[in-house]
Amino acid sequence: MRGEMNPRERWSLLLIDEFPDRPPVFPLVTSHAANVFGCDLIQYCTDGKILAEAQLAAQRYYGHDGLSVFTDVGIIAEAFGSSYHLREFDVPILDQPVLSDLSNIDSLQIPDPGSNGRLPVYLEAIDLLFRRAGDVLPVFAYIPCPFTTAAGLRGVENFLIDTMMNPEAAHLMLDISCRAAERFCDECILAGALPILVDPLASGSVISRRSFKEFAAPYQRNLIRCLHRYDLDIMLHICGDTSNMLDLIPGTGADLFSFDQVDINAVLDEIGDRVRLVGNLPPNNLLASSSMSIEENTDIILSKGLKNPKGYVLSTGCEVPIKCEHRKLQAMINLGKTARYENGW
Amino acid sequence: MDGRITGGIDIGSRTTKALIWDGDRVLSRSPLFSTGWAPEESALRAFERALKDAGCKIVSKVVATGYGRISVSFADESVTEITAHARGISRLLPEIRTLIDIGGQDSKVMLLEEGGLVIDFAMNDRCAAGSGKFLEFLALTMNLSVEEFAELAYTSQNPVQISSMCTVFAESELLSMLAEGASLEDVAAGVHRSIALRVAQMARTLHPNPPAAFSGGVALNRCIVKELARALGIEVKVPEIPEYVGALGAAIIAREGL
Amino acid sequence: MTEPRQIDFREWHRFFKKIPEETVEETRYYRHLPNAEWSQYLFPPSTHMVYGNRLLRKLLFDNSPAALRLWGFVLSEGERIYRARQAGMKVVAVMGDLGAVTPLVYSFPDTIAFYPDCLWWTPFLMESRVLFDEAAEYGLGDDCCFVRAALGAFSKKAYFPRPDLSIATVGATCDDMAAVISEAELIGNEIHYFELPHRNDIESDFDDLKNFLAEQYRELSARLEDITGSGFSREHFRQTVKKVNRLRWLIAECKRLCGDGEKNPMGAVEMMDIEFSALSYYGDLKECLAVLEGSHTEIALRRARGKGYSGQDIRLLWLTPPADPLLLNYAEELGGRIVGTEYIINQTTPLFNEEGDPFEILAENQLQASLMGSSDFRVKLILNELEKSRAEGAIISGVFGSSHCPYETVPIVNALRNAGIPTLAFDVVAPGKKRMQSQVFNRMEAFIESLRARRKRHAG
Repeated sequence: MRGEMNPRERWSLLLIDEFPDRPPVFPLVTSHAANVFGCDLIQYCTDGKILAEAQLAAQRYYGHDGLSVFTDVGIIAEAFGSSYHLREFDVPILDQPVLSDLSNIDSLQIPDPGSNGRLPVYLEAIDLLFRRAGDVLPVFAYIPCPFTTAAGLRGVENFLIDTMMNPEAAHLMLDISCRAAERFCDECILAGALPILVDPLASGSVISRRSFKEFAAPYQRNLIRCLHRYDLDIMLHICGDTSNMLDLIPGTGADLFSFDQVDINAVLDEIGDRVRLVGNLPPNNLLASSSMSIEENTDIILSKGLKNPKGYVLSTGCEVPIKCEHRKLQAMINLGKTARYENGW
Repeated sequence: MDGRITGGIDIGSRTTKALIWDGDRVLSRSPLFSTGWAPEESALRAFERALKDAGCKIVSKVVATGYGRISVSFADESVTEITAHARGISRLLPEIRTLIDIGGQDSKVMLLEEGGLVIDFAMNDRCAAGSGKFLEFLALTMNLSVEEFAELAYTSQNPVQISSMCTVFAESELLSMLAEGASLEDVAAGVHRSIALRVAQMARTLHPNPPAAFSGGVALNRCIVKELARALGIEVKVPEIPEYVGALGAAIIAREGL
Repeated sequence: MTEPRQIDFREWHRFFKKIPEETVEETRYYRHLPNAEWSQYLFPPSTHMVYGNRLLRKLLFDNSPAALRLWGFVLSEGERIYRARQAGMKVVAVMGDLGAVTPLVYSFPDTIAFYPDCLWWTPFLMESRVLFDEAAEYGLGDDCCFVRAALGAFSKKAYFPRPDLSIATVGATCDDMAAVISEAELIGNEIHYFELPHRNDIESDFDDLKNFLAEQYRELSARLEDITGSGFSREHFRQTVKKVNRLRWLIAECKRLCGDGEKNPMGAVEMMDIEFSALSYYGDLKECLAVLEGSHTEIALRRARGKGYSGQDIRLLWLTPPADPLLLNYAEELGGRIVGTEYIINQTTPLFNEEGDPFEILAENQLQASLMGSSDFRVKLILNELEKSRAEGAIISGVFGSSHCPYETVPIVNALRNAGIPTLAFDVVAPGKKRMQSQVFNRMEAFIESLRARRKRHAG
């Protein structure tokens, strides 16, 4: 259709404070793409070609505004040496953390993105997606933040205990995780992807505001600062309830904030004038609700998001459930595509 | 023989050939290998075969040419087929000032100075018409081998005029001519003439100087040779081993430099 | 000073970490807006690559900080024009061969110009057919020059903000651009037409033509007064013309320095960026001048110290700008060195008189441009350039469908061949046609091989 913008054009305008024809519609279609493509999750998580094909298939099917390269939050921890259990029908889970005790903390080596763990899977997928569709579709690589990676090095419970009992060791792990994330980001960028930082374990549903302030936010900020050196617009995604730390988000430097279980009005009021917002249809909605109720909920969120002065992206609060019925996600996306900005030319 | 033996490999779009050169004469040349999907492998097979036939184990330098030249990792250097053919013909027929090369998928015309120096060149690499591919495709349509098709064409006294320049349209044009009663010989000759006219048209943009020569596999087709001479209005010579002119040029460049 | 080398985007990405943060922070456009966070531009090619300029993965860049600054400035132009609008500046689109219009535009306070024609690089930089497909929606397909990308951009409304004024040539101008402009007008963009007189005998008609053009500059000035709400200021004009003269001088000087000397001191793609800055100063005249001063200093220093790239020694004249910058890189990779160019932007090269009636100054300047003359006149200029450059061969990168090309390529090729200069002419291949592009590369390789063999023979 004459004059219709493509996803790349929409994002480009959004990121320079302009208004595209409509907000980008960007549900977090990650492992759900395997479901659309018809492959199992072990293939999806271990083969960059399959991951890329699945992403392209899902995007062709739904027509949403971007490609997502993400398998699981343990990707960097695994490259450090933690072992993850791959599953056919669900995302990988931590099996054996590399630091079962803290004695070998000094032996950790920053992973080589070209050879360690499944990092090369990401790079291969990004390269393929960028070559095949990068002119019209932005490619996003989801990079776990240091807090989440450190939890994968130690095991979640142990790491949370470390933050209280042995904060020095916790900071050591966070620091090396941060450097690993920076190195991995560099390679993802060079392959053609814009990093999205994800920190699910830094959620208010898991840690306190104080812990967030001391152990999560400073490292998010460091990583974002490294990426800002390259003038990249960085999205920070934190799952769960982040209502008690919203005011700290602008301080991380994030250009876009992807939020989950928080009232969109609260987010708009608190930080909407400083950060572009991305959210937040509850993924549960996509499993349990009818298409009609999904449309209604999307409409409510969208009408509020559209008013955000710094710009808005319609998304899901967290990853689209793997087994989400296709027509339900389609209902959300289709409704999102009907939105229009009055501004622009 | 001064011991500086070199090799030349020509990886064309259809066939690959290798040749061993001692600075004075061709010691051996491989048979034509089909290039297929693995040009490096074909190049290696052809080269090993040529080495074996020459009875030597190593050469001082190998130069690759032709469309697949960059995939030959064992070659020391590569040169384009333009440069290689020009150098090759200047050894075989030093007097040549215009060289026409019709390959599997393209055709080229080169104006030469003494010693095989290229003054100017033109290429048709965009369209199958005017290349060996056109001939092959239409021979297949008539259920003939390229050789049978060429011999049949040679006997014709009255070639038909083919107006379609596109391979796909030419096929249906031929079929309808045959249906209207034209003889197979005349139709085959018409196809040859149309290729010659197309190549001659390209050659004329360069103002070709005599004498001219014709290299590449298609030069073995005497009907095309006849038609080319007719279309250009000058004599067209065919060297002894027209398919190996590029490989020979590459081997000479390996020895003498550009 | 680092040893001059051409490096890829990966290497720049790594080197960039060593550039002090303060330097990055200080390198800004629109310096009259000191608090504009967005105005930094010293970023490496990888930054622009991630946002869709996929060709940057394949290009080679000069390794000097001056070249990094140049690239950062050039590649940020798209955003800059939007930012100008957001900051309340007036944005004027200038289309066609209007070398003397941009200085007039910049003479008004807080007013900038940009050249939609230059969108023709976007499909190549992005390796994308998006803008061509969009233009095809209006009937401008593959038989039209690559400038049709500008129409795609007008239609998409995602590549530049709505101009406050669009000025376009009519008359002696490119037919394809005329088609683009008229379609853009049909979809709601008001156009101020500026007539370039036909290619008459300039010498005998000089006064008439000058008066005709001066009158149009006067009208345009009045139009700009309306739009900007500011009166035309002779003093402001004089200052602008001084800057533009300096910019044009710098470009000519950079070209001269690149052409002589033992080694090539700067890459051909960087030089193309430098030459094209003369069209609309990439949206910020003052900063553009600073960027060019930096490039010039680097080139002059390298030249003085005999530094440059190694392995590039076949002297080439390049005619008609290649929409695909990779071609320039490739020529260099093959051992070519671009020692002269004629990019059909001669309307941006003559220096302005700095004294006299402003509108007459502009008119006289425009009349010196080769595009105002016949094809023979262009051929003469090219032969001049050839003599200066001492080129061994010429490459003409034509554009299929462009009205410049079929009419001018043949006389140019003939003139060059008559002058004894081997010449290679081909059409640049649109993005997405890999096989055809490899054929063009093959021709370039054969051509440069033949020049090398010729040199060796003549030396022998």
